[in-house]
Amino acid sequence: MRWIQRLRLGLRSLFQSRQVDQELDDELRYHLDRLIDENLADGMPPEEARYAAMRAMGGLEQRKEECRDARGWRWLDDLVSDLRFAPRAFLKSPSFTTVAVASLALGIGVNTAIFSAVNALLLKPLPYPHPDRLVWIDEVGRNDGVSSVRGVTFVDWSQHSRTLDAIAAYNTEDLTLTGVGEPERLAGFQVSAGFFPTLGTSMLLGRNFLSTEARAGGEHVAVLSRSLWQRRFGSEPGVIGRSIRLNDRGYRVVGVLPPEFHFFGRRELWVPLALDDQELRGEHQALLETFARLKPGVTREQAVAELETIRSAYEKETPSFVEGRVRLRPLHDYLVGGRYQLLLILLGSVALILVIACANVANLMLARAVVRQKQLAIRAALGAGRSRLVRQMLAESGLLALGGAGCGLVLAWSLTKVLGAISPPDTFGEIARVATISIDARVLGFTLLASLLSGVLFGLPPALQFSRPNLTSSLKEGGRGVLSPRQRTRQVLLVTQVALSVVLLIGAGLLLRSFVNVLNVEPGFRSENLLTLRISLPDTRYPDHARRVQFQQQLLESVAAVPGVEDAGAITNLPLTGDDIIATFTADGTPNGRLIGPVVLGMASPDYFRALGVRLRTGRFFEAGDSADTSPVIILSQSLAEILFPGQDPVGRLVPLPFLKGPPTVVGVVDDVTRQGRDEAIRPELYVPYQQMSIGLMTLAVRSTLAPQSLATAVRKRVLAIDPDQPVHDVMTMHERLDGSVAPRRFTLLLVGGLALLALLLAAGGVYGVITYLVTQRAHEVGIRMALGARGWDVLRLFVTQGMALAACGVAIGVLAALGLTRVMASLLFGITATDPLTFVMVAIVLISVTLAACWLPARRATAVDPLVAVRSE
Amino acid sequence: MSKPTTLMQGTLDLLILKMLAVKPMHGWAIAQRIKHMSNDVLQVGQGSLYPALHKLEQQAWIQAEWGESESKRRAKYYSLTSAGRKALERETGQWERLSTAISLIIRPA
Repeated sequence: MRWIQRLRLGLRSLFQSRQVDQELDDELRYHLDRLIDENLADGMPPEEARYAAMRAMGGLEQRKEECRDARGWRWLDDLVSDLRFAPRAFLKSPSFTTVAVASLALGIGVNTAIFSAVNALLLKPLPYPHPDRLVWIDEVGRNDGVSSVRGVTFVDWSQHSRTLDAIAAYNTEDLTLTGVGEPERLAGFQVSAGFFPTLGTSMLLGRNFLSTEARAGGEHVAVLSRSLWQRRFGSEPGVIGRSIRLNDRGYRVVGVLPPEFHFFGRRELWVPLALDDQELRGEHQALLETFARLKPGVTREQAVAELETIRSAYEKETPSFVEGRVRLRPLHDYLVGGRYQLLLILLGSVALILVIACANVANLMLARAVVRQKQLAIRAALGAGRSRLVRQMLAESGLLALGGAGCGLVLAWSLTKVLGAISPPDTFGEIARVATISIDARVLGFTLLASLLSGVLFGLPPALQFSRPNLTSSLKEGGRGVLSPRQRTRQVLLVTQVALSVVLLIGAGLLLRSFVNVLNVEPGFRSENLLTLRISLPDTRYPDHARRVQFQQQLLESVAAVPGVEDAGAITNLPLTGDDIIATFTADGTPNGRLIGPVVLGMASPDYFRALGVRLRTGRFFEAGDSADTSPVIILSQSLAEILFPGQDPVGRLVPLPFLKGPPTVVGVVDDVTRQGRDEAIRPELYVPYQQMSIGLMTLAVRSTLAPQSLATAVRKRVLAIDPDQPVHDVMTMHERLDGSVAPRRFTLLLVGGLALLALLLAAGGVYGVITYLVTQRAHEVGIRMALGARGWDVLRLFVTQGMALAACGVAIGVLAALGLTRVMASLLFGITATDPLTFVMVAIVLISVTLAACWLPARRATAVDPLVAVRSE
Repeated sequence: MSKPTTLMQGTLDLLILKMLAVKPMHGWAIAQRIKHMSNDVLQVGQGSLYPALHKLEQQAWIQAEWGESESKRRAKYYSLTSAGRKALERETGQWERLSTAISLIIRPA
């Protein structure tokens, strides 16, 4: 109960200080009056009685002070009065306040924004119930390099495991929806019956898959995303039980997912995973992505041990068994893994910015403290202790920091919106959680902490220095002789600022050089005026080679006739459209020959190379005459030609490929093209004519004289004219694809570059401020110098040399620090090392130039000093 | 005035608590009572009484209430809290041990 009284008294002295003071006054006055009464009773005359009583009390005000001290809430009183006084002082120097708050708002704002991203992506739990029990399961150390779980293993685990609450497996599966309006290609998943229960998701409408549906021969059923349900089925609740056509088969809709459900990107359709006996135990076994929910209290180690046991117990005998180790990772780690680096680099960058901003404000405070030196000295002379003065100055800086934090929050809020809008998909993890970046309690806590920390950081150096004013010299007018130690603090701050911005600029410079290097890589094709789109022919309607070839020929002829189209070609997978088809073979066709590959395999139409703009090096392109009836031919990419026939002419040579009807003849060699992105290594590529080998996938490349996007509708119509149930999807210009492939890199560059520029700006402002201060402080000296015959140039040199010496020192330290630090970003670089000399030199030059300008401007003002005015001002 | 005996640190607190254990009083009364009960040996300086009272109030050993004094004026009356009562017992015990110990030393048997 004691603390209640203490708290009550504390709150009283804080919020009812006037009344508390009044009561104290009454209490002491009562005592005084009694003393007077006593003295009167002793026979003193009234005047003397009063005087004697006052003497006995020893000064009412002093007694009051002692009582206030005794209550122990003095510091709070002081704090309140400091905080009450500080805004008035700040308002009196608006330019100081504006610059300081703006610096802090920038520093705290970017920190809060980046922290809110870290919070959303790394700290917040996954949006499923009990996310800590969700684990990702795969295998490591297998000699076939596969990490996915085999279907048969999954089935054994789900039947025999005791440590798992639930286990789920899935495969990606794209499905074509027909029969409701225009056909559409939809991204989906094939999932085991345990998929939604493992995640803990319940349906918005309808039900989850039954285990009888998720097996070979089970009924075809489907679950829709809410967006698909809204878009294609008008949010009709009656969609449950309705039959829809997917890949030309009837599927009954059994459920609709809630809108917030999210798992690995934008998917719209879920169908049961039904493995037949061939896929479970045959030669081509299904490989599945697998995750599970641990039973409460079960550790990952226990689960791994059990899964290992089950796997060896049931599968040792199966012929396709591969040695490997089961690995369990928290699902969260799996989803955000690999995104740590970017976030850590960003966090580091914003921390440096905050330090630079704090150094700026500390310098401003130092300059202000010099002006207030007299005020502080008077307070000290009147008995304010050192700690009292330090507390006053810290209260001021705390208030300043909070002001900065307030403005910083507004800035951070807008930055998170921008961040969400400009970040390319998947930059921040497999699940698109950028949208969930927001300012919550944790972020607010971080901001508060950052602001208080920076308040101490920039408030303490001036507070410690100026709380011990040299009374005599400060009280004398001017007092310029005592500046030297303060000068040193100022210099250290300035060097720190310059050094830190050098580090950030070098980081940004390396990213910029890498970006330019990537853009300068020739993709091997011409991306202008090129429309691309994908078509996936279903096996149901196009079961054989002849029908597929017929479709493609018809389509390409029809598209080529569209006005404005120059060339129309097709290949199974265009560069930058996704997964490559990979093949390996031996150079001489025997099992023990030299292994060639992995090689990208493309089945191309005759006009494909012309449409994409791939240059022919030697030989010829495919022709309409290369058909199923003629002997097989192939075209090699330059790099593959060098692997297969180093230093020889490959045209006319045979390559023993196992998957054609005989060893094909090389008819041509073309340039290498970039497959996955210009910063990826070139992959050797092998082309066969679509007419000689085909699968149901094709990507069209349409080169036109018109803006490529304008052709999209026309091409789509041509497809529907040939097959009204055939959707096209992934319609993009080649330019967009190229652009998209560098989007993550550009995003990183934009963020780090923006932060580096901010750092440069703050540091330049800092240099400018310090030199300006020096110029005003030394106006007197300059006046004397000029009166003695110094020219403007000499004065200019005086200040510029001083500023530049510090800047050079900062640059040197920054370069050394960067040499050690840029290593952390080595994997983000392309075509340069982390210690790229050009970048380092360029950044040094930029910094020296900027600081030179920041010194020059205020120094020039010094030359305008009128010697007479300056000398007389004393 | 004869030179009053200076009080040891903490002794004033004990005396105040002891006075208030009898009945609630205001500062003036406490000072007078200490003076009378000690036959004018102990004189409490106003300089130390009120800070001590405020400190004890802050420690929640005593609590204050405004009331009407014998001279029909508003005065601040202090009374002992239960925590103060416990503190008084504790301090009294300590004081007794201390004074016994000191007596043993300066008045050897």
